[in-house]
Amino acid sequence: MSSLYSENGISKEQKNRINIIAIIVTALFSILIIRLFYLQIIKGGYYHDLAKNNATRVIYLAAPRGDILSGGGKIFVDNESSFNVAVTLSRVKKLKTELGFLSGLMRKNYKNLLKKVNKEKFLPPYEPIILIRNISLKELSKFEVNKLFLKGFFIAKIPIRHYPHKKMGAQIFGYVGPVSPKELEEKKYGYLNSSDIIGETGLEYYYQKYLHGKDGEKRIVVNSKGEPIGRIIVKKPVMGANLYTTLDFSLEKLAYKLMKKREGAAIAVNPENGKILAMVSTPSFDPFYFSEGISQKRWRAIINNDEHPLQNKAIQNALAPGSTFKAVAALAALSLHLIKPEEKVYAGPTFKLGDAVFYNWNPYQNSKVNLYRAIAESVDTYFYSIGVRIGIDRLAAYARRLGLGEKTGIDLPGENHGFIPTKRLVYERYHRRWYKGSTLSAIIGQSYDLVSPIQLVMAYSAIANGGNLYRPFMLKKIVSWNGKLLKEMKPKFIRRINIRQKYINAVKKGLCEVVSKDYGTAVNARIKGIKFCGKTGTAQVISKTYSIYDIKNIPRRYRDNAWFVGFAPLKNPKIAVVVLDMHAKFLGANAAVIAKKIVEKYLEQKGLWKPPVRKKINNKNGKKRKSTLPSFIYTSF
Amino acid sequence: MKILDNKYAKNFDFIMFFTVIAISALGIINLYGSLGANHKDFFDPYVIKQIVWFIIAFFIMFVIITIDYNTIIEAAYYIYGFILMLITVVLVKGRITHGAARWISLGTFSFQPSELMKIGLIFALAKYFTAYENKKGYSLKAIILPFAIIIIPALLIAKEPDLGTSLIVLFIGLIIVFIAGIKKSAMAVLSVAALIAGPLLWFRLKSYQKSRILIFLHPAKDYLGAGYNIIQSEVAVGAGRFIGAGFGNGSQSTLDFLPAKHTDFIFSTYMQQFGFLGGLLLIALYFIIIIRGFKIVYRAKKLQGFLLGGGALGIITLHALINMFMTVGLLPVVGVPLPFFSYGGTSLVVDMSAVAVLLNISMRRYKFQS
Repeated sequence: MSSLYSENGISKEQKNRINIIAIIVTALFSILIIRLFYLQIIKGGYYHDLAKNNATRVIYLAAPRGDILSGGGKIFVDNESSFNVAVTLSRVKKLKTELGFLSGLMRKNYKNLLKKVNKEKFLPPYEPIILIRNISLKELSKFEVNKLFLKGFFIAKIPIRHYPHKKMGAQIFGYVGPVSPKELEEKKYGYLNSSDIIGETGLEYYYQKYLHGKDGEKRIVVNSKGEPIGRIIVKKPVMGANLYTTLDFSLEKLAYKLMKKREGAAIAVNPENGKILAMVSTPSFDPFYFSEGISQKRWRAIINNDEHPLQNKAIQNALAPGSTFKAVAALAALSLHLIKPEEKVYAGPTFKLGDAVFYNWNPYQNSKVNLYRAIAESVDTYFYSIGVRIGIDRLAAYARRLGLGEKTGIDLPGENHGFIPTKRLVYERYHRRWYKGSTLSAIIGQSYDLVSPIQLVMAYSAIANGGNLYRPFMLKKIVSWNGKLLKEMKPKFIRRINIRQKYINAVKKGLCEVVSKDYGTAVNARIKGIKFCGKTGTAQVISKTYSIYDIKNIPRRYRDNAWFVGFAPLKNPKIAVVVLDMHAKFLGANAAVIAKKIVEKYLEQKGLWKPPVRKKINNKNGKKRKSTLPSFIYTSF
Repeated sequence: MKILDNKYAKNFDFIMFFTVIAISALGIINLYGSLGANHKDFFDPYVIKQIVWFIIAFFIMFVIITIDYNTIIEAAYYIYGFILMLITVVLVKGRITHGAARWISLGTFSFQPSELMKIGLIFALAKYFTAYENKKGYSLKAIILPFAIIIIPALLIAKEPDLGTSLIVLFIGLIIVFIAGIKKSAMAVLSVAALIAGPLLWFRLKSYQKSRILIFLHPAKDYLGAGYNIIQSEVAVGAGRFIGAGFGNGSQSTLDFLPAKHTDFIFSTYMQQFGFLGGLLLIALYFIIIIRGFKIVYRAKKLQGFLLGGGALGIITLHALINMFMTVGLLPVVGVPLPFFSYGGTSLVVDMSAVAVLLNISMRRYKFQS
């Protein structure tokens, strides 16, 4: 036996080779430990998180949005429960059969339902998919009756935005919609989840941060197949804060009622501090359809509407102010000592500048007028005569003092800054040289002048309150769900308009005569016992095409825009109002009537005015009582 | 003759033996831990089955220890031939598991003959090189026959297909050839041949084998597919951090994110629960076994003991290193279990047998001098 095996033992070379292997093995073990150190110590936190994410699925619970209320606490926008048909795929046995049954029951297209399910296929199977949104109570009872045949289907109650007053003030409050992937990437929306809805326009957009609240979280521990096992940790959602606006509920309602059949805007504001009391833009839209993603058809209908229902015309729309601009022109002329208020100047039916002829709106004008009458009667030729001496740049400087041509800074998105022309600005913007004649157009609020209703009403507020320009604001306060005051808006004084008090008073006097004198352009806006002052305006949409302005025969969109802007009472003004009636059938005088009704309502509420008591004489005789309102008459400028 | 007399007991390597017991015990604890902290069933089928395997493995170990390794070497060719036959049988009508024909079923237990070949091979090679001892070193021509002894089972196993085991068999054989004293010139020629054969071998690989290697190079490319194993394993190891998530808190294993969490990826399961510190402990235990193994090989007085011990040590070291390297993403995924730690019988028997061989050599190192 021993002959077969070596008795010589092991050579040095063989022992050497064992040593080599031993060194290699030791080196490999060192590498292993280094690798473990790298994975566990250096990158341990990273992998720890990965493992945690592996095992937990987060379901976000949307926080109910805060309400939008009037200053007095009346609801403009709130939430309501909607009933939605949802399905949990992991509980469904025969999806296609049950989906077919559901489509028959609810009269929905089977293919669309199937598409919805397939779209969400990447979701874990235990997560519910919303199939039919916002079903009616009738449909709800239908579903409940047939519940037994619909295993895995259930009714999900989801809070949705509710608009009790439908279209009223829709552009001001804004609409909400599902957050888009692009918005999710924005830094300011870092707190959002992909399933959230956000404010897209108006106050909903501007105060999104407060209205949104804090989303809750439901954490589910799952295994590698995505099946939930055991623990569920819930972080309760925190309701969004309530937004108290400065709006006066009944005033807002009235303004909308008066405006809803027209295209335009109306704003009522407290001239002493810039508080918006009412703001409407018409025609309006029902924001409800946006809250869950608007359908293509509805969207196209809204977008293609040439009356632009989505636009908040009160702030986003700038157009020629027409004769309402004359108050600005008067202030400028007085300050520059070009005229004296009492000084009478001849004003004829036309005004000649070189070869060009400028017309007065009233062809029968042929007398000497002072400033008051020129404002009251809106005498164009009077202002032309100022125009030739004032020069566009000086006029623009005074317009700017009143805040025209600059953003007012209202707490709403998308404000238009308008345009007040100077020689330089017109060259920069339109690449045109300035002609002297253009100044004459500009002084009566035509040509390049573009002003938004909010700018105009703030400028008139500054006139009304004796020269203080305020920043208009919509927000009164933000109160959290548990009653904590989160934010309170204080009036913000911007600047003195820097015009001598006696000049302001002279213009105010002229503005009052617009209503109070029988030759005034807004006699129909008289309020008994209250000095209501203001100015009508008619702005041409296009100038030359229709030489004779025949309201019945020109297309609607070429009709003139009617303005009225005013304030009341003369002393200690409580309210300033602007009404823009675009492409109006009746011109400035009608806008003045709307403004008057708003002012009346507000002053009545404040106890400053009582509607005149009507004697019930004729009632006994069964005769119809005549309206005390003056009939609408054609009055422009 | 007493089965184990005092002289043998004196040279019995108790350190190595108890370290193996320690790793095995840790393995059982870890197996419980992999089931989760809230697992109430003490008699979990996995654990019970593994304990039964331990008893069988220890029994086999003692059988091997009692028989003089020289006697086994006498029968080496027969053993080798028998296992080769079993592999052929498996290949011909093996049961299909995971798309591979590797198993022989014995009632509730099944085993892989390819694993046994590792033991058979080291005996056969020890016998061959002792019979043709050459202290000046073996030339290329002289190793053609031992090379055939290595390559035939390696090719058959590769056919199963079980590339991992095949490569390990090849590697173990080459280790013995290396320490037996292959000439440096022959080594150079073989290295060049391997470099040429490597790319050729690539085209012979099955697509899943190719993808395993490709995925190893870029695991993130196929996150939910083939790269999943590597990534989940690295996540499990890394998530353990310094002190680990604690017993039963290895989320990667309890929530089934880890594939083969009881077998090939048991190390990842362990690392998430016990962290870097626990990892150092386990690695230290393996290192103790390996150092003791080197000592036994180094102190062997006879060539057959030296070669056989080297082979046995090679089996344990390769298994431990390849498995751990694989789970931490340093090697492609190959189905190699962690010695004494992974769930599974055949590998346990093989590793225990390798330990038994080392203990056997250690005990009998003075036999011929007495």
